[in-house]
Amino acid sequence: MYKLMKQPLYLTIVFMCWLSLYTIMVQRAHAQAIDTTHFIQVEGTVKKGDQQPLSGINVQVLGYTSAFTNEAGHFRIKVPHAASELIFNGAGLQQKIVPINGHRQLDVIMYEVDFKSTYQEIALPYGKYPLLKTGWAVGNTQLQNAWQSSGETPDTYLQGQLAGLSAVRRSGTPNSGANLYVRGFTSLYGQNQPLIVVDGMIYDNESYGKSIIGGHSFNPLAHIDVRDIDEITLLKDGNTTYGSRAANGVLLIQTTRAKEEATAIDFAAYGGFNAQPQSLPLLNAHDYRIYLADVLQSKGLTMSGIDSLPYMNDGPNPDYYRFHQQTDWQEEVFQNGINQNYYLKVRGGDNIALYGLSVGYTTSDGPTRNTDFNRYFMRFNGDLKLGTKLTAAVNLSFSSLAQNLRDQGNNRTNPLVLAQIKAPFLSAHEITDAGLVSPNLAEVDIFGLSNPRAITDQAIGTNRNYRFFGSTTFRYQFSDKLHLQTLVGVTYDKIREAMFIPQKGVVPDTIYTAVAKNRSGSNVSRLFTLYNDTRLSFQQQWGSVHTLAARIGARYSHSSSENDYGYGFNSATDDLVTVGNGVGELRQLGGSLGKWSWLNIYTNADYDYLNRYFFSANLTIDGSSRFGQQADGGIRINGSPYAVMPSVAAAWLLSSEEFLASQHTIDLLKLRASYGWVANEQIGNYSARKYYTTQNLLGMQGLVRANIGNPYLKWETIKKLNVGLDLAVFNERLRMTVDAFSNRTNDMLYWQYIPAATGVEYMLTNGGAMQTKGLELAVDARMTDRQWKWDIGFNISFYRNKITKLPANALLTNYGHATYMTQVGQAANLFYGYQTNGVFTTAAAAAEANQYVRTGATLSPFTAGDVYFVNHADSPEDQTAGVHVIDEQDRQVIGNPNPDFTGAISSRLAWNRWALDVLCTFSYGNDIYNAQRAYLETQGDYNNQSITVMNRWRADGQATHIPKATWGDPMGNARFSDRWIEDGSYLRLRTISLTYQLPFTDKLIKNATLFATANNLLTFTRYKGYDPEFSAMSGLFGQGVDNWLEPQFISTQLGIRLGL
Amino acid sequence: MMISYINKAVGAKSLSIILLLLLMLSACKDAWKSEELATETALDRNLMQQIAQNPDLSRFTALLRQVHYDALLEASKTYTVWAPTNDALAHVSQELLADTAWLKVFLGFHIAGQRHMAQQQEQIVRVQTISGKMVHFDQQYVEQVAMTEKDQLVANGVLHIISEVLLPKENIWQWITHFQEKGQQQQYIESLWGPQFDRNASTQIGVNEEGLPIYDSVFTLQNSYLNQVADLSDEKKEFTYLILDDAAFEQETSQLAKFFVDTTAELSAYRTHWNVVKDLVIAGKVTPDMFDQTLYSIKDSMTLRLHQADMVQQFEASNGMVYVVSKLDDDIHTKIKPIIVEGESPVEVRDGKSITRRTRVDPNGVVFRDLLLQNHGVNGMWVRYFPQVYSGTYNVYWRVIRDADLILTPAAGAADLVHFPMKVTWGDDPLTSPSTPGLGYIQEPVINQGDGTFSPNYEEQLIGQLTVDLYGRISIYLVGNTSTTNGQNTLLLDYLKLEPVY
Repeated sequence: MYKLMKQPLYLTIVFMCWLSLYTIMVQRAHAQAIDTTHFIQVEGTVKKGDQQPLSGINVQVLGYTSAFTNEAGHFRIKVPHAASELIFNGAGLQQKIVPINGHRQLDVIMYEVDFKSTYQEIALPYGKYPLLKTGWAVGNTQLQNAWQSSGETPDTYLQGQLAGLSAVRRSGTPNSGANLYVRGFTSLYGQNQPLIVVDGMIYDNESYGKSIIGGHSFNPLAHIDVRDIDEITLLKDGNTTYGSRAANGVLLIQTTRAKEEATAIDFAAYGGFNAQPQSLPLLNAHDYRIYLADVLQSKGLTMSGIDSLPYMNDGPNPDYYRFHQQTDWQEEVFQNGINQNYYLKVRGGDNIALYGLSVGYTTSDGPTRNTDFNRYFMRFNGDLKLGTKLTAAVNLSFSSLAQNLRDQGNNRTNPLVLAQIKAPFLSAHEITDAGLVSPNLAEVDIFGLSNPRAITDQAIGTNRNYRFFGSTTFRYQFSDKLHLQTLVGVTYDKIREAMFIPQKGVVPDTIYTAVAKNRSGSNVSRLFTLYNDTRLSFQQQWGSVHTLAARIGARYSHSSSENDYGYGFNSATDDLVTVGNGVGELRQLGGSLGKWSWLNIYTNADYDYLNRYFFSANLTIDGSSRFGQQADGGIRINGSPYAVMPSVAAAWLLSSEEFLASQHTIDLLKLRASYGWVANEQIGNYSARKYYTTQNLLGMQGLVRANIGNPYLKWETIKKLNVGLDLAVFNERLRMTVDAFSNRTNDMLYWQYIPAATGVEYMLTNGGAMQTKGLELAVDARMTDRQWKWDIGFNISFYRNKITKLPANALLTNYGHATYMTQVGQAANLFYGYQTNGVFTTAAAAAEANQYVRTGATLSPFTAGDVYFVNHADSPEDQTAGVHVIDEQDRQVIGNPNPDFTGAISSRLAWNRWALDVLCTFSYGNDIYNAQRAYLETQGDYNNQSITVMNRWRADGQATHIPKATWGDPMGNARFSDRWIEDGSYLRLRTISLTYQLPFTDKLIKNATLFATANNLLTFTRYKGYDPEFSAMSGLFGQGVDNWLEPQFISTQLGIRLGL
Repeated sequence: MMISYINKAVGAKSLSIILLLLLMLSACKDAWKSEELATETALDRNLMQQIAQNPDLSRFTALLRQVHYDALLEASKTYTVWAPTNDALAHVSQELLADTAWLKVFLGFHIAGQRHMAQQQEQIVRVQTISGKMVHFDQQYVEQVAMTEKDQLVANGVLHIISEVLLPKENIWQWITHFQEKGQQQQYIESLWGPQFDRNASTQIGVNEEGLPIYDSVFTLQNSYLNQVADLSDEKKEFTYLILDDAAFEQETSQLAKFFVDTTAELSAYRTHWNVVKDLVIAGKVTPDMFDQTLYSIKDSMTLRLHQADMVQQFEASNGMVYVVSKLDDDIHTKIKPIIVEGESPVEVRDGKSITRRTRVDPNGVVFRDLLLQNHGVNGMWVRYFPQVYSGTYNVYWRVIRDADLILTPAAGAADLVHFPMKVTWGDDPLTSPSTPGLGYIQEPVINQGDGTFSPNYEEQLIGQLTVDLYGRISIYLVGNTSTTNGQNTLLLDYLKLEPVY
């Protein structure tokens, strides 16, 4: 929105920054000379975990004094105040901050650099900050094992790493990434994914326009290589720094920068194997034909009618071989694959400039035949000293991705769907009368199903995309207390997709005016974002007692996106695969345009008293081009509405209090609390305005009103309260963090049903409210610390969601044959369908139940072998008639896709040069609608079925829970019911990797490390689908429905890293 | 000290975590395992396995293997088997069992396609076996043999066990062919064998100008009784076939002879005999409890009744019943039916004039069509019909409905309607020749209400008698008024009815 750009407010802020800077410069205080006469002497020893003394450790009181340990690990230092803190630093060791707490004698244990310490400094929105001192609920990972996880994208890497962050991988498609949920959901229709900030600049993780390849979703995070990342911090609570973009938490990603001037070159090469997913147990040709005979009998065919069908004719006949094969179609469409990647990282520089450069190439085969992905990437990070006070940081990254994909939607062009339902007695290839197999692929079969191999081998589905993400930050240091910095960056992203479904072997589609024999598609999406973040920072310390840091600044982003797609049909031959070759009259074109701006004005203050009490406050004022002009609840500046979002946090370091300072068990005990208002401005670019859309009516093209503009449409407000406790005991060998939170969403977006006279059905309003409460626990422990070093980590997260307000009492939504209910007083998005109680095994039982299905005016009774649906409600008429009719009124909540808890267990066992890393992830209590199994147990058509149907009901008294096979399923035995709601709980050996550091040194090669990694090696679950982990939709609706996405697979990798 | 204590404490915890993991490991088995087949049912076995594992069915098993029916029962189609026990098979003569052709039919009679559960048969059903013959099957019995064990469900069908063997019966046609006492009726039926065009055996070799198929015309020996009356060899259907003993056959023949007088005595006899036998098949199985009820023959719906007193012999075939009777209680009026000549379907119109076929509704709501030929300007206009008639005398009726299309109000000053007299003639010259036999002009098929209004007469009018010498087709004419005045020479006819004088 250009209006924002022109607004004087933004300019005013920038100007004010400069003005205040000037004022402070003039008045700036001179550093006082240090007077050490009143200082306290403190001494002690520094040791490693195995009690070996550490020499040469730097001990300092920041800004005052400094000392080193001797060979016995002993040090002696003068400190200005009993509340001062000592900072210990040593090469290869984790920095440690120890509050003196009045002690004169300190014994300190230090750990190696990748130890997860409570004392480390982590990246927060305004730079590095000690974890010890923050009152916000944050999680942090230093990516200790990124090098052996080279197959991951940043989002999948985060799985199990941080309490409160649930990363659910979208599918097994390489690079498809994960949907990230921080503490559950905050919105029904708005954004539920956290904001991602890479090196201080917002990283757009949305996809604009829909993929023309069914079921595919584009993953922008795939452009970032995990080995380029230094650390990731997650802001989980109501920290309002990022205002209306921070509704679902913020992920701060820091990419690696050179820290030393010496040149360091790392090269790594990997190669591995992707195992084909394990097939579902389906009927083989023998059992399938028995099933088919049953279905055909129920269709009314006689013995001779069935015998005359070519696939039932076992006598010598020309078609014999064509219908008497044994094909495992899942084997036909899945593949074993390989993965490879190469990576080179160079760091170094001089006292003027430091640089980090990385380049890499990655390739991996997908689980579906003929699918793969390739990625080339490059990143350059530089730090420049442009003057004594002016520095600049440059972050540039460019990467290119190319993927071969196949339809993964709920379509008959999805090879997986076809592979499951295709008759196993058919062949993928043409077969002569004499039984000779041709290399040519078979045509559409007798049942009207496509050949899955025609899709995998002959169809086209390519996705090529590029992203440039670069920024430059200038920082002017007026003094050691004051600096001004500004970041300017751009994102440029382009996606090109091409799709082609051939005529041969594929069932034609029916479009409005024609039969589409072959289909082609083309899609282009572009995104351009300009981003600026300018702020003035001030910090001052007053004698180890008071420390204050304050900032004021503004962020501005302006984005534009464009998506254009076209579909072509019926090109002359399957060799003409582009849209332009299709028949002109049938061509379909479309697209979308978007432009939006966001302005975020923020101030922040962090105050620290006695290194014991920490306070933090934020105030953020956000404007967005998306807000309706009449939106209320915030302030108005120059006629436009702005959201006002305050937040506060406090932390109390109890372990520094006198009553705890005297004991030695507790190293750290901290209580935290934070409260803040954040908002969600992802309400649609133009939802607040009136707009028109094109419509085709009987060949006439025109414009029609698309919506009712709602000028009162505003941001969703989420009030987040967090209370936490951090504890470290036994010299930090056991560390624990507990958080309890409550998120309350108000003004929640809701598509409200409006009268038909308006011409549109629904209108977006701020009518809803919901709350999410939860608990998180993270425990890390060093179990042994001698020859064997063994670390165990455990984290677990709980959340409970409840709708507190909706304009309508209950909202029913559908996704992939599943129905969800969202109702006040219950969790959002619950599976809503029919309850079953087995099947009627006898005619007497069916008669006793007296249940019917109503079709028009006729009632059809449930008979023996039909599913026993639980009847909950009858209409008064039916009650009078004394019949129980199974209809929509009998639906109940039958499942909850939200997990009871999720989490992970990690372990690292190191011995000598060996290290074994294990990560297990788990999810418990989430229900899944196994749509694939529902399809494979319908028992009403020619589709192949799962082995369970061999247990189908056939005779009175047969004890089974599988109903009879009936052509067309007239009683609706296959309707959406709890028959296919399954427990999606799982425990997975997510990653296991063995690392060995080769024991040689060379002039050329400084070090060499070997990796052996396996992903998804073992999964324990009762879930019957391919895999219990998938996420087709990023939003709330659609969770927990297992459509035909490519399943997760086991992959292994061997790699070597060379330090040059 | 402290550290070691912690090690122990933490160690114990880690141990418990490991134990927990192992517990989860052991608790998690393949989720599909629970879906595998329940062990108490035989659903993981096929029919052959189920039969073979029953020691009481060992003879049956051996016989199935002997004729290679074991492959069939292992195949992935569904079957129903009624398996006779060893004791039952012991009663079958070894001689018969040694005959492989018979054995195949015999065993095939115990195997039916598809799955037929006894418990689901609330009424007797006929189920086709792979021998081609049908068995009667209900909840207790198959072919009147009690099932000792029922509904043993296996993967590819169901097994019933019977303590007596099922012996395949002959069908009616086989029985007729084998019937030793060949009376006149049997001899006549056997005389009907002859070479006939067999479409199933022929191959289409082209298409003629009218788009109809041309075949290479294979002729095979067939019996026209099977083609034209009922296929008594069809195992899927059920029939009742009556055999008249010679006395009854002669009595029927003599009763019908006058209707089928033809040019030669042989031809007359042939026609008479055909007309006797064509109505001796009844659809469905007539059991003795249906005696004395009115039955209808399959060919031309002649009504007849069977009586216990007339029964000479009876036989139950695989596809119905055969009764030998000494007397046939039939209704001649349903055999020699009145002949209806539809007015709107003439075979010829004089001078090739076009006619109007009207579709009308009578006062009872019945839709009928009739002929209207008017304004043709021809003196003595006629239309010709060419019906098939029996020899003998007929009462001739017509139905002529003068209504809306005609002028039903008298012409100005006239006291009566304009009439258009018509007549019915037969022979060669329809118009005026005195030698043409026929019925004279008739004036008055309109009802005069007596108040100056008229209404159409929907009744049949007896217009005279017609005698036919020979069985066959004759020309019958409807002849118009000898006038060229339009309105006075109109032809109008719904139908002519020729009612035989029995």
